[in-house]
Amino acid sequence: MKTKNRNVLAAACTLLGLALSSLSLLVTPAWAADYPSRPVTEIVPYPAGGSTDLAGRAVANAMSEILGDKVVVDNRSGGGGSVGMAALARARADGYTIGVAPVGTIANQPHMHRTPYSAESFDYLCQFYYAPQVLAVKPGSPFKTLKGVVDYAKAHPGELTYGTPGPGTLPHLQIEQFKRLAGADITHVPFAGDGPGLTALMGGHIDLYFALPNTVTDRDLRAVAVFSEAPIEALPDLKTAIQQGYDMTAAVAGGLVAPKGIPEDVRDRLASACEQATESETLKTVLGRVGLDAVYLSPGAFQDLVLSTSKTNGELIRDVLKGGGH
Amino acid sequence: MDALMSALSMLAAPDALLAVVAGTLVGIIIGALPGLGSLLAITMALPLTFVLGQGASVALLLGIYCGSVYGGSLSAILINTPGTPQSAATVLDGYPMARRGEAGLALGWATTASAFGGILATVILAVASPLLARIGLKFGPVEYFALGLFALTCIVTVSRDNLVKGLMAGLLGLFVAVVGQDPVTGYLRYDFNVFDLSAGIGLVPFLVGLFALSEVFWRAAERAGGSAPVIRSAFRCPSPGELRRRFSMLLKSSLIGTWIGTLPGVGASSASMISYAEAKRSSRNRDKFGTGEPDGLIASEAANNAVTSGAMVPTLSLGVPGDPITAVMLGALVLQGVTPGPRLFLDNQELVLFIFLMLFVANICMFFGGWLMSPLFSRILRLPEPLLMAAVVVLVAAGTYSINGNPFDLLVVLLAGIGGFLLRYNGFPLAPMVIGFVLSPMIEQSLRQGLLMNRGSFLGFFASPIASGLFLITALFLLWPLLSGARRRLFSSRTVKE
Repeated sequence: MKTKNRNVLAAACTLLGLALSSLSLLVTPAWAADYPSRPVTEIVPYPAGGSTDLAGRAVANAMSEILGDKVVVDNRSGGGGSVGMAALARARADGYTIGVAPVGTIANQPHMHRTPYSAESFDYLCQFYYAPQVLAVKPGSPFKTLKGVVDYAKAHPGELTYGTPGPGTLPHLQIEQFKRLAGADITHVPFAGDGPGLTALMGGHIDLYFALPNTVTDRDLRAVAVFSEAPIEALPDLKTAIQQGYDMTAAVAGGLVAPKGIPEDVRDRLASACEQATESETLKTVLGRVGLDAVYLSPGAFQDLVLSTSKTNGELIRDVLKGGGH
Repeated sequence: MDALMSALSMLAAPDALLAVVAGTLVGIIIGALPGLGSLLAITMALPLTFVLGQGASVALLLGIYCGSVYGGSLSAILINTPGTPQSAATVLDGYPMARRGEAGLALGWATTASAFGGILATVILAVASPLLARIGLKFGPVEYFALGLFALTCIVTVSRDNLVKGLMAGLLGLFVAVVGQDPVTGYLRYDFNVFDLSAGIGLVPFLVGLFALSEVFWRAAERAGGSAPVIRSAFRCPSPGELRRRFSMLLKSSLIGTWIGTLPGVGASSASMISYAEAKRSSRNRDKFGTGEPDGLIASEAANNAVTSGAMVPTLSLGVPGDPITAVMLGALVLQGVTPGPRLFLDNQELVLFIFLMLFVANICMFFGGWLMSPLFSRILRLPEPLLMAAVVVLVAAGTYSINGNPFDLLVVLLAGIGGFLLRYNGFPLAPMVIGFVLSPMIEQSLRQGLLMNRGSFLGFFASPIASGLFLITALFLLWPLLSGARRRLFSSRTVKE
């Protein structure tokens, strides 16, 4: 009987302790002076091991050193990244939960279907990675230039195919945008991610694919254009789309965001830590291995990029996916 | 030769050997726990690879991968719950064997088949990796569709008692997988304005709820209780005679697994089902499938472990991971400064050789690990049933939650458990539902991609010789009872004439 009582007492004490400690979490205000006083969670809306995850882990490591407390990666995947972004939008706006936001995930998904967040639900901290898109062609493809592709597509509407990692993803909408610019009709074949899509390109089952520069160099693929402002180091001989007469750029990019309404001083601290991290050698090396460049954008500039992408892509999604016109 | 020597010296490093042994054992345990799968095990180990060197990291991940795929068979056999989705087909014959009191032999066959499949696949991989990668590339959407259709014939195999109910369960499975985003237009289907449904129904919560939780409900409903299988024999290796009799099954299933592993995106769950379907088509004991026939167990287990080595083919030689598990491994390699792709085999031969050798070692570790640990696991069954079932509920909930940290997945587990119980109560087999669910995304996506590529025409599908061949095999399989009946009639009428 005595032991039983003691057990009950012990359980009650534990519960009380738990309640008190959670209460203390609730009432502790986040002052920048002592921020961070505990580890920061960084939500990555994609599974561990993918390029977004690797970029997220690299920036988390670099920021841990700068902030002096751990930044812990929490993978919340599913729904094309929307599950993780929703969890982030719902998190407490105290600066202890931040997240990696690829531009496509944060700008496109809310236009695709009803999500509990929109591009306006977040405080923007920084952009820390960027890579221009390269239009790769299948092995043995006759096309040498972007004009060659466009001319053929104009003469044979709908015959050429391009693959994407899924409907409503950044590359899908970018190629749709290019089709409008060039006035060419190319058929969209969506895959479940870059893995199956690239394999289909390498096996010659589809004609075109928007890929990262390192994908093209590492897998001995051939490309017809890079969609950057100027030619890139990795593929010095490849002409830009602009040089070939199509005034368009396209890139993948991403940064850090937090739920809207975090204390201003905390936001500044995170933004400056992110800027320092972007300049570090380690981040450059790790991002380089997955084919991304460490390119910093200030909170304001990154927000403008996401909001303008959201606007353009919202219209494209309405026309291409919801209007049913392929 | 230099490459081989340096690969061997990497292999002999104590940290690498320790990592592969530890990885395999941890993998077996995590794989055997329902709900905790290969992906979780590998993801958990990922941070460790930041500290370990290249060799030890690779060894650890390969060990965990092989161990966890094998581990799934332990719970499939002992508690009628696949520990990982890859072992879903193992339940079909493994659990009936355990109920018959042959759990030890079932574990022995599962261990032998897993190790054999893994080792054979590794040997093939070492010899023919670049060639296999080139063949794998020949598979486009049209060929995937044909393959998926063939795998669906599994439904017929596993619903021997009631074909109509089996087909209904299969259709239900195909349909449940449709919830979520349309793969081509991105529209949401059957989400009822519930945001969590927009991501679709997860494979692990669905599978674990359907098998594990419904089993708990089932046993709770059986008021008598004590009908749990009595396990007397611990681990029993199949005798050389038995091994010889079933050797061709072992060989064929391993080859199927290796080959399917090289196809990106098909995965070990589908591979074990395809192998099971083929075994059922060709085995001498095909009539006994589903009642505890070792051939069925071998087909599933040899294939899913052969996939682990096969899946390294596209990952290493094309730089394209076939499934989420190899995607994490690819990520870990990239962090170690290795760039998988066609040039890896030229630029970094010793690492490629090291990976092959490590896979070999991991499979041997797995055999002995299984031999050592399966008696421990079968002892679990001597626990009082209420205790065992309560533990299963806790494991299932914790395991499922740990994958995405999403409470919605727990609701899926519960509903799948109730649904599974109701289906069983009304005499519907559960296996067809899982087969439908696993294959549905592959079949739908590849069918619609194929139609897009052929401008809406089905005729284009027959232009591919591979697809046409697979369609033909599928048709023959489905018509076989009719054909063999006709042949028997023809044959018997001829003998009468003579």
